[in-house]
Amino acid sequence: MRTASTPALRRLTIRTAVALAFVPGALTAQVQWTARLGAVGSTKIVSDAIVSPLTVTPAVAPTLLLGGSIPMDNKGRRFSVELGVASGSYNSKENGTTTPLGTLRTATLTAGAEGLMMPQLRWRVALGFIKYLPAEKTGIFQDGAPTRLDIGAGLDYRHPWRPGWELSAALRWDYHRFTTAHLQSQGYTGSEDVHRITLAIGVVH
Amino acid sequence: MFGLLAASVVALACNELSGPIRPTGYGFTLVARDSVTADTTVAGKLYHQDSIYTDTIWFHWPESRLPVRIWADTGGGLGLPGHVRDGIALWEQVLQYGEYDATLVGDSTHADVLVYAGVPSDTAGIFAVRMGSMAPQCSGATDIRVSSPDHKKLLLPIRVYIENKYPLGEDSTTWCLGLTVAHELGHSLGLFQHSDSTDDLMSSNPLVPAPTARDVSTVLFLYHFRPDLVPVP
Repeated sequence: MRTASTPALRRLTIRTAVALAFVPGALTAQVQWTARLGAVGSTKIVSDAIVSPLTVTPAVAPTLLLGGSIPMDNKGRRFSVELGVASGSYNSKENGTTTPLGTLRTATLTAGAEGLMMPQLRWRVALGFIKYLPAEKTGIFQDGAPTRLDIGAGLDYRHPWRPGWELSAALRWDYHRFTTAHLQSQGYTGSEDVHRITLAIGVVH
Repeated sequence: MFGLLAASVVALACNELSGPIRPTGYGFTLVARDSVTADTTVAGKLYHQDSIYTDTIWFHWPESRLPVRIWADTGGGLGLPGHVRDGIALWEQVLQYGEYDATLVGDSTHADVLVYAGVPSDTAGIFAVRMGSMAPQCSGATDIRVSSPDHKKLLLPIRVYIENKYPLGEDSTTWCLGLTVAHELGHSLGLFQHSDSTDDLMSSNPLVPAPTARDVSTVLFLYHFRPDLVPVP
């Protein structure tokens, strides 16, 4: 068995936290932090046909969303950074038969803008990267796991909770194109459209 | 920000993931033929005395039997454990959707595949087929045993024999041992026939060290069909 790539995930998490912690002093008071837990669902990451159509799809996975934002203007728009980490299984499916392929983690780091739609509802658009972190470098990930450009959009519903705190529910959509070095070495061309939906609840401070 | 997002959408909007164009493979089935000397009932089916039963059958390891446990003889100075490890990696590389997983084990008692250094022993009493390969510097053979006369069970363990013809330590012998082990592991995967092309690893006289596109097509095709044979110890 080859080793897992969790150190990369740890590095990404630490770098994000450090970047958000060093916001210039004048803005410190206006920084909003968010922490949410939820679940992410993904469309297939590979489609193939050998005898019959075959797909590889990550299962719905628990996810942690950590974010921070600072004001961009006086219209309520804010610059935001968000880190999403998910860990679940992924499976191949052919003729109704599902074969477990192992554990697959993903880490997304996006930066973007958010603003008010309605008093308690905010929009968010973002651009960043998604990194696949399989627990084992086997199968389609045997020659390494990809980092891909990722775009996303979302809605945040916020409800006052206690002074300085809000409860939040977030809906996220993100999109990237998937392929791996191994697939390319085996003659696969192009990349797969992958859409993901995340639902999460948490707090804003 | 919105301009950047729009540019990203354009950058992302390229082509779809397309699998490789796979060449036509070769045969992988086994023709099992038995004559019955006395009326025999197996699993409720009567096999009549003096009848001949012929079946075309195929096999691949079911998910429930993975990882396949492979034991390699450490004797003879052939370096079989290393060659087996490399051979497993070659086949796992092409079966990328979790179809196959194998592990090298130190205990031959519970292994599914035994890889011996030396010449094959006789097989008698049950239907068996021996598939050999003969590169100039070394030779290999794999014994597949199938239950008789029903031809429904693959009897484990599968036995593989590897023998050097040229002196050990020469590069060409080491090269030959590597490709021959990979070839015989191909038989243990369920490739029960030889390729008709000497360009393929599964040729009866293999010259290449790794599965070719035709080998890959054939083994993928095999592993995406429901097998006839069930492996039993």
